[in-house]
Amino acid sequence: MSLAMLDVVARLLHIFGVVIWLGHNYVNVIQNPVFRPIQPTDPGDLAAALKREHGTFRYASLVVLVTGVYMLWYRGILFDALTLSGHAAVIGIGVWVGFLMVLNLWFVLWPHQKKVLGFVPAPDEECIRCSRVAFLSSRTNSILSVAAFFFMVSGAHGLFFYA
Amino acid sequence: MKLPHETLRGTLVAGIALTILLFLLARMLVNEIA
Repeated sequence: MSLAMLDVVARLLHIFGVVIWLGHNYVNVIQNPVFRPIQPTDPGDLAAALKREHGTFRYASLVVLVTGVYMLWYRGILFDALTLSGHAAVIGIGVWVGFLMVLNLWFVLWPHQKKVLGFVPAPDEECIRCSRVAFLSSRTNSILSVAAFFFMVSGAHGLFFYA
Repeated sequence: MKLPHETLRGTLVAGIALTILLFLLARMLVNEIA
């Protein structure tokens, strides 16, 4: 497979990954507009579904990261994007916002969600505390996603950036 | 205490406000070298 073909595949995977990851996030925003800790009366299959969903979108975020970096590298603008230089500053801001989102997901949300979902045993009070942190972490990513989407799209269509 | 992103409206407002701020930053960065 040529690098150009790989670039097309990377773009497809990037979009699929974004849809899986942030689609999940947005569904969560709509389903739970305000914080509600998991109740002991919630059905068991809900917990199983949550575990499955969480694994799916967590790994989707890594697919988004890897394919995004590859596409920038293929175009020769990875360094400029990361250093916010020249025209690449537009997509570069999107990259840094997206990178923050991945870090937030893996290093803030996931360690807490592990306890909520029962991967790591924890007392009920700790589970409720962790579910609140996970909720806030998820909403932080919702906020960041608005900017990430904007810069993802305007990186290619951003003529209005020029005063 | 309720944080801004604990409500749907707060999440949207914060997201849009952050985007506008970053847009202004990007515009400044891009025009600096143009």
